[in-house]
Amino acid sequence: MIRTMKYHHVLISLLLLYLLMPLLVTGLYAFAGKWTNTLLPETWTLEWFRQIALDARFLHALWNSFWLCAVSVLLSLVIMLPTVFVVTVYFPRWEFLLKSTVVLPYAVPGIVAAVGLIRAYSSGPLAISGTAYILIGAYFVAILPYMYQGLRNSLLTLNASSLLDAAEMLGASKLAAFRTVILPNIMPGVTVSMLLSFSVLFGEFVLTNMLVGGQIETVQIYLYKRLSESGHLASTMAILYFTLILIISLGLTRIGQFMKKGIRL
Amino acid sequence: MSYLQLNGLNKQFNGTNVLNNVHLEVAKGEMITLLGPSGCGKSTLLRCISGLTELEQGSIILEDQEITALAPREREVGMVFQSYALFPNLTVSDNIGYGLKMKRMNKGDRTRKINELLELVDLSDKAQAYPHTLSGGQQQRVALARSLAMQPKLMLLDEPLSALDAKIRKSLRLQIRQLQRRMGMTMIFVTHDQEEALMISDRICVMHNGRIVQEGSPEEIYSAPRTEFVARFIGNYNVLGPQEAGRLEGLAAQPGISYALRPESITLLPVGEYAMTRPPSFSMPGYPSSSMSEYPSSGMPERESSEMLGHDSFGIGHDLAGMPERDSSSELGHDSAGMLRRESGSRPGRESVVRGYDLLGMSRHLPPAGDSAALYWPGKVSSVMMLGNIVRYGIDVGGIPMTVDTLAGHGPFRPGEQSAVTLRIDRSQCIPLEKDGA
Repeated sequence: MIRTMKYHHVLISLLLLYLLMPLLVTGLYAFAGKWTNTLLPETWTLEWFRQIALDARFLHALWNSFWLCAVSVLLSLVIMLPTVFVVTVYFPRWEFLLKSTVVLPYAVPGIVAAVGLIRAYSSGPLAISGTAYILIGAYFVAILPYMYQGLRNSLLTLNASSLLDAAEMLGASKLAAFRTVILPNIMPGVTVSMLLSFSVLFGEFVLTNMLVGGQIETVQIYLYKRLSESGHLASTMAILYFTLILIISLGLTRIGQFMKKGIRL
Repeated sequence: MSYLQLNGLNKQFNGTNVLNNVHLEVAKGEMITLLGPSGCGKSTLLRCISGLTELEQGSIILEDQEITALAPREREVGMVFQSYALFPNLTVSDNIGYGLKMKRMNKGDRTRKINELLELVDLSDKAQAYPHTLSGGQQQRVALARSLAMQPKLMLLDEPLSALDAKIRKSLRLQIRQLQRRMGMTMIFVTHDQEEALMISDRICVMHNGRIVQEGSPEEIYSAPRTEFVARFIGNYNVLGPQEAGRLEGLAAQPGISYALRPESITLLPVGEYAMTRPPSFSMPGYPSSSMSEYPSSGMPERESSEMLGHDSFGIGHDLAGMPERDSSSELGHDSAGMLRRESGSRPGRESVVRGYDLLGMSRHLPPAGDSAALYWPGKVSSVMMLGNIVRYGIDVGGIPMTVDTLAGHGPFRPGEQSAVTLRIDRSQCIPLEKDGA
């Protein structure tokens, strides 16, 4: 028994090491001063962070990424939550339609989608190519699978329809039932879906670069541009970016827990 | 004017009739069971009454008020679900208080009411627990309390015990029945379990293919099934189709009629032996049994007293004390009856009859003279099953499989497997059945 336990620990440690190694090394590089022919850096410095902090372009790119992703995820939530709810609870027969729509982003490679979108929207009545609108639209489609699966699974595990029935029998209107019974219970699932979508979008490069690469600079695009200049700066940006995602994740998880406990009628 | 009236309810799903012109009248304080196999429309009927499913036709009147078009929350009807449907984000107290909060009852009254209900369902110590930490039985009690909190005019229970294990199920159904009586609550209880239905109902409605095929007290439903479907669904009736009935001596009084024979109304006798008495019938005084009126029902007047004795031991407390031992009646009769040996098959004048049944070897099993009220058939024991207080025999009667129940440990005759026996049944215990759908 103990031997098998040890075996598991070793395996998990190796896996974690494998996963965290790049991050660890990037982290080291971000803080490294002189690092030429030794195993670990010879000197440590915060110079790269100082440079980044003073770099208005980076901060601007970060902000761009943040609001583009946030708006896309919120838009998706506002549209997908009622849609998935209504279809799952009241029209399960239509689910196949939603399912097949939702897997489309998997079927079409980003680059193909980007080319198609540019051709479709660069002229005509909706000439939004190169603007934030087209990007948000594309982002919306890109995160459909995550939002759909997450929402649907939490509704199904909740057995939403019978809870709604019960609430209605106890005198709640449909809206009140949704607000007091369904919403608090699917909050963890919604949070996970949003987190996942946000992270995916934050790291998105192909679509962003092709659709708005010349007009709007996101973190990924900026990172790509500076990559060739200085490895230290790129590492620092990567670490900052990772930290940001971590903070957002923790924050959202907290909010999710708070919502589940906190919402009481 | 009854308390609840269902008039001509119709409901279709994808072109098939789920409810087919359902009529039902329920008195105040009555416990009605809708009994039937899955897919018979019983749950749909319940959901239509609750308003969760819309009707196509018909009207529902509750306490002189037409509620057909009202939303579920305006009907003052409570419902308990098979899946409990407790709100997982709320504590037991908050679950029970949910409806009261929706009613905007103030906090003090609400707390008092919740505490009362917690006590009623004996869960005061779980007030602050979350539903997922409770057992199934406890969860269903919370659901019950949650519905009761609204003081509904009518309580609907949709297979509330089906998800529970046997022991909890048995105790909870008694609790529900006690609660219902104490509060004078009108309840409609949906179940597919006939034992459950017989035990807790004032009245049972047997449903089949979207219709109520028979309604009556548990005694009526059990002792006098009207159609073949009801007979097959209730208890372990031996249901004989017209052809099978025709092959058994004396049974096919009318051609094309099916018969139901209760397994405990058949007595097993050693071959060539005949009991002089007939076992007491199940039917109670005051409840008409559907025995065939064309047969004399009292072949042995001097035995009537012992028969009544059997009744008395049977009739007590059918509702709360649980179903009485079904077999006590037949065994009582059997024991009190002296066994009388007789030579059989020696009477001229019955030749034509004898010849007809020689194919089955029935000539040895001719009834003794004077016992025209009973039928005697030869059989061979094919299986013996011990069911606790009941021993259940599977018997092959000329190719027709039959079930015979006897009380374990009683009576002198205990045939083993493969032994030949004579089956004795009272003519009045052969219940003629109507065709399904009639």
